[in-house]
Amino acid sequence: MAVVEAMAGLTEKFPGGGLLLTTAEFFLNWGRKNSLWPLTFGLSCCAFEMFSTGAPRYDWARLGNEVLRATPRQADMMVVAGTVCWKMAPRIQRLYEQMAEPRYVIAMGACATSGGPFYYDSYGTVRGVDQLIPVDIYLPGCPPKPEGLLNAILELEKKIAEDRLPGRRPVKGPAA
Amino acid sequence: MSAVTLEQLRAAFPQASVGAAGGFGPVVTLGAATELPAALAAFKALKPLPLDVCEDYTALDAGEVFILVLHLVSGTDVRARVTLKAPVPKAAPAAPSLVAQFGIADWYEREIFDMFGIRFHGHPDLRRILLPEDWTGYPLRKDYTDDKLLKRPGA
Ligand code: SF4
Repeated sequence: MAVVEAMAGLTEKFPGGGLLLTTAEFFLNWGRKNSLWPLTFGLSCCAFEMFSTGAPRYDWARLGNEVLRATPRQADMMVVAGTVCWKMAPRIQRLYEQMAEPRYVIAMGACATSGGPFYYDSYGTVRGVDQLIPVDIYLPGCPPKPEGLLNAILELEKKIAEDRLPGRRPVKGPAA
Repeated sequence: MSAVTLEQLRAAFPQASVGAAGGFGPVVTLGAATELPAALAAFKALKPLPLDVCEDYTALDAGEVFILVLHLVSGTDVRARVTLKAPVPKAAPAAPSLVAQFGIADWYEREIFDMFGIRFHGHPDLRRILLPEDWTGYPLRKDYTDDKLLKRPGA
């Protein structure tokens, strides 16, 4: 019954139960946004806030981010938590391309959104992971608190709820 | 006394100039990096506390020259410690490898090579360690620049 209540207004019940009518788009989005499987992508200090968000005190499993996957093929959401360096850049693109579609990216922290403290005078830092892959949610902070990451996931869920079928998005080429 | 005294250091390697304690024990300055293996051998044989652990090995760009910086401690008593400095000319940035004396120097020397371009003669496998293999230039040199690097405005 929980499903029907959650989708109030978009579902119809037949008298006597047993059948549920809704739109395919709504149903798929509803399933997707409540079972995001994140790819582990902790790169530096921000990663500890991400671990903390996953640990029992904040427990992002409540939002359906149940299992951190160690392989991109089983993941559909990537939290880029930390400083992206140029040596990492080709790997991050490769992993993104291997993720199952539709796939989503949260850029967590000042480093992943813009290069942050390493914007100037750094030979190794990519100034924002959006130079490499498309980003859905930018989460500022150095580091953002776990509450911030939970909010970013909720914002991502709102965005997924508005996805159109078939929801494919292009992969951006590498930054020159 | 658990620290190394300046007299002990002077007696062990008279060619070096020995200065009072800095941040990490007395500072021993060598005339050239080529003296490093001999100095290390002397300090490793120091009595009663041999300086037999290489705790850190790095370099810095001092404008005119590069300076190799070694932190030595005693495995017997960590309060006995010494900073060893040796200049490397910028025109021919090379130094003898210390891998034979301290196995741990292997990766330290690769890092110094990666960041400063100082070559270590006798190193078993001198390749870049942190930067991508195809990187050009040595980023911790003061005159380093590349097309991606942004200078802080006004700095
Ligand atoms: S934004 Fe701050 S906390 Fe996060 S990875 Fe960068 S430096 Fe570390």
